[in-house]
Amino acid sequence: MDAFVTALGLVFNLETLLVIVASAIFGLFVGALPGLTATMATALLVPVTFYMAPIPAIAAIISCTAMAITAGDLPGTLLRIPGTPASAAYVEDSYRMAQNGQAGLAIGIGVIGSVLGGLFGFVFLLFTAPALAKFALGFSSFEYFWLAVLGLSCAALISSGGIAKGALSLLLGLFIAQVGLDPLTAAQRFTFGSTELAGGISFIPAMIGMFALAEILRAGRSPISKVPQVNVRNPFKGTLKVIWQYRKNQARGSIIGSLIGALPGVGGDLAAWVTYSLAKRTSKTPEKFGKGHPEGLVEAGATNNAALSSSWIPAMVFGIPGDAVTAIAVGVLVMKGLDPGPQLLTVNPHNFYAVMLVFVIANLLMLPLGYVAARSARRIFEVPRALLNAAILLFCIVGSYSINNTMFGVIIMLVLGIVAFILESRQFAIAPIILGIVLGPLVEQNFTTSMMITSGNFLGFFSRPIAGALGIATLVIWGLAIAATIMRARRARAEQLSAQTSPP
Amino acid sequence: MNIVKKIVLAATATLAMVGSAVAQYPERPLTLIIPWAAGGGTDATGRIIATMLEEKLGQPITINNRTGAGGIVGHEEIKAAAPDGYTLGIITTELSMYKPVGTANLSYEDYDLIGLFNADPSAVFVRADSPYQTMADLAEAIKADPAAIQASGANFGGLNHLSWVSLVQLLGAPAEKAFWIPTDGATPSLQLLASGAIDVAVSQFPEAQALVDAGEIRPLAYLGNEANPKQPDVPPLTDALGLEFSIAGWRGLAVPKGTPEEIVTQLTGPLRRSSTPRSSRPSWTAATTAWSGPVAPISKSICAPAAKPSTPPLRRPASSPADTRQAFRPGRPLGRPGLRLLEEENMKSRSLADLALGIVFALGGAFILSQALAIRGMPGMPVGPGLFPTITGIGMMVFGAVLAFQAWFAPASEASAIVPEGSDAPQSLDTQSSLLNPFSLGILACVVASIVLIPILGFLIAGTLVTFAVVLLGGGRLLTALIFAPLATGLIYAAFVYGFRVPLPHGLLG
Repeated sequence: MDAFVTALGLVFNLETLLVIVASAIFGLFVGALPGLTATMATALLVPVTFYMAPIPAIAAIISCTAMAITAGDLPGTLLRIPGTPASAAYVEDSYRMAQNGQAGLAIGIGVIGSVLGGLFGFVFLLFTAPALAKFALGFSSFEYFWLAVLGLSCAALISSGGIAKGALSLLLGLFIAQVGLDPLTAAQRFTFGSTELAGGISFIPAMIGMFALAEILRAGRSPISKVPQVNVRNPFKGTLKVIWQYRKNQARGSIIGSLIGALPGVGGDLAAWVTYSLAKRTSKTPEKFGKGHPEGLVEAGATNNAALSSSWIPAMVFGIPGDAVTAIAVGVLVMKGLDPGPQLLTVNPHNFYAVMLVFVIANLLMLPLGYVAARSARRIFEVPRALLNAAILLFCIVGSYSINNTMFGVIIMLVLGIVAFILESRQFAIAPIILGIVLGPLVEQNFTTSMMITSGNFLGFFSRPIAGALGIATLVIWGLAIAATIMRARRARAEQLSAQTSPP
Repeated sequence: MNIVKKIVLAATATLAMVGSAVAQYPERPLTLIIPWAAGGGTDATGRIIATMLEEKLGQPITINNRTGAGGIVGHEEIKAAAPDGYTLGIITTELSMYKPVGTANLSYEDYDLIGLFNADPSAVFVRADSPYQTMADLAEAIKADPAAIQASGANFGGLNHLSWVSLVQLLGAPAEKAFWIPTDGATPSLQLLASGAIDVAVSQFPEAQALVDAGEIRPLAYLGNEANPKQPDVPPLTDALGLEFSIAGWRGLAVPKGTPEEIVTQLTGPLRRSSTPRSSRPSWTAATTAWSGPVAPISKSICAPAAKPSTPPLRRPASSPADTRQAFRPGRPLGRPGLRLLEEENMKSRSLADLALGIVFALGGAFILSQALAIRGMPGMPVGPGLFPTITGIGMMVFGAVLAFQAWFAPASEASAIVPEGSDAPQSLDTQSSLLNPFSLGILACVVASIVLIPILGFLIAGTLVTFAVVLLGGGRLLTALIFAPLATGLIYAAFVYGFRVPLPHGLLG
């Protein structure tokens, strides 16, 4: 209880509240701009949080992300350009609704569904995380090693470009994390005699390069000439009635979203796709899906934010983030000396409660801000892209510079921005790179530590029951994924062959 | 923290008196280099010192966190700064270890030392249900066989490792047999102890406090000569075993070697006096008295046992940097539809770009592997720092080859199946995926220009020029660009310099 009172004091002070509102507005603006994603909003915010106290810093990340993801529904609904991969799941329905004169309703469902889903995810997080943390106190380097490997494996295997590309992204991230002094023995690795490289590749310029610079290169050039043809009326009128009508979808979306989001390495993007197709399969009117039907919208919208909240569970309890955004957040927590892990919840519970409070505030803030954003969506779309590019680029440069106060950070940003751009144009996923950078040291240190404890016997990694189970799960996942790929390749080859022998 | 505040208050009070005597010295802002990250303990204490010195010197002090390489980058920077009294630096325990460990050629002799403001000895902890009830029990076990006791508490060659090795040596056991499990810090080591994976943890008390309070672990003894008044129940090593032992982690203030003597005296006097009230802080005195001849005695006592155990110099021949990843060009442009998520099937398209990327990754992997095999480990460690890079290199070679193989042999007929769900796909923003267009090249040129120009021209001028160029590149009008560029640059400059205290380069305006 004392911890909760301390947490109230940490959150309800002028600085933190101002930070929450300001980053929410920032997230809303960036998220609502077509082509600029929630991850980019977060990436740009990190250098600023560097100079804040720990709680406001995390509060900024949370409220910015939540708001940017919800605001991503705006360009989806009005312009048919999904703001985030998650909102791409239901962009057809929301866009058609807007075309049918129901733009307000579509946005309202998105906003209110997200708020309800987010609050559900928060309750889930509030009760699950401390229980998990008590359990995790008994974890040693063996369990952490397997958990991190499991998380990284999931991230690589479910990413968009197939196993080979996912694995290569991951390995690139792991390699970037290895540059510099080995943390355990201080051996120089890939430093080529440079003191700057000996300092390692800091994840902030890396992330700014891969998310912000790469996005300017990709999207900055083609400004949106399209201005939405529809007017948005009061987005909350009649929304509750529709949500009540599909209350089953709302509840199911929230639950599934919370569960999927909580898996280490999986993250929230996938969840909305899963529940949208589930809603379609179980609907009485599946033929209406994709043609402006609110049912899938309710379910997937709820899933989105529920997953967003619960993806913080693996991040905070084990320090193993599920997606790029929580990976960034874990980086910020570490920078602030709040190392994520069971001790964050058991030893410093006030910090955990403070983070929980921020979740509630950020979700509730979505209502008024979502209203304003819906009404002013047209103006947001009209901001000249040329000026935005310039401001964002300048911010990227200063942000990368300010981490260590050297131009080396800017060079890292430039190089990794180009690499990310090229890789992404070939459907390599970027999230595994970031996860590799953040989790690489964790995997390696726990591996080395465990090897020392077992005196070099790898079988020792399976000797503790939980570690053994996690290890076998990891191996099984890889086995299944590789087998599935080979099967598919064979089938495709067989089909091609049969098509050649017997032309249609 | 409170202790530090009190001391610094005392320091600044004295400083005020001295300051009035020597009139001119701080006539412009000072910089304080902190070799550790913002938010850590060194940063927190350093910032307090800076704030208080700031008030009394009457000049602002800009904090510069030069992190990296286990503090080497920052320590090097302090050493290399102009010895004019306008660059101060925080130096930490690690300074005494770079030379013996072989990571950097740095020692306390490279600085003019001003004052020590913080010193903590480590303590020895065991799990609550450990068979070792007292320090004497543990000492017996160590004497019997030091290799049987798995101890941890941060990295190899760190303060806690040295404390442990020294303890083993003091007990008359062979120090080279001390079994140390390296981790990234005291917290993970304590977690290992709590989970029952190791026998002993060596850590400073604040880090362990919470687990002690929770009843998970027990302190056995302080690795110092005097009891800590805050922990009266924990005996110092002198009481527990009758051994003299004083190794402490410390933080101090220093300036580059060769700083004018009157400035050093001006800063040294007050800080030294501030640490004299020893009656109130017994556990401190060892470190503080040692300081009066400054850091030397402490660092010598720290370095002495370190020179032998298991830390040969680790050096690798320097070679020129090579970025193989840039050695290729992007392939033909392809749309990047937003609905990509569930469409693994579409990726099989035969593609020269994928083939090229696969080959580049495989070659990169081979390069990483060749470098990794040259990394030498510590003697006595079953796995060295080269193992993970080796695995990464092999992984990249394998998956790079797989990608190239897939690209080469995949059915060509599916190459067109890029458009997601139906022909009426949502508008994608990404019509251009190649870097070879005027806009993308222009943006890249602007970033390169800013890297070159900002240190020369200063942020305000170079930033304005770059912003101006980017606005024009994006199709903005000349007048807009003329107004917007200085405005945006000025705003960002103000936010970072005055809001976050980032020392952006002044350049020509300096």
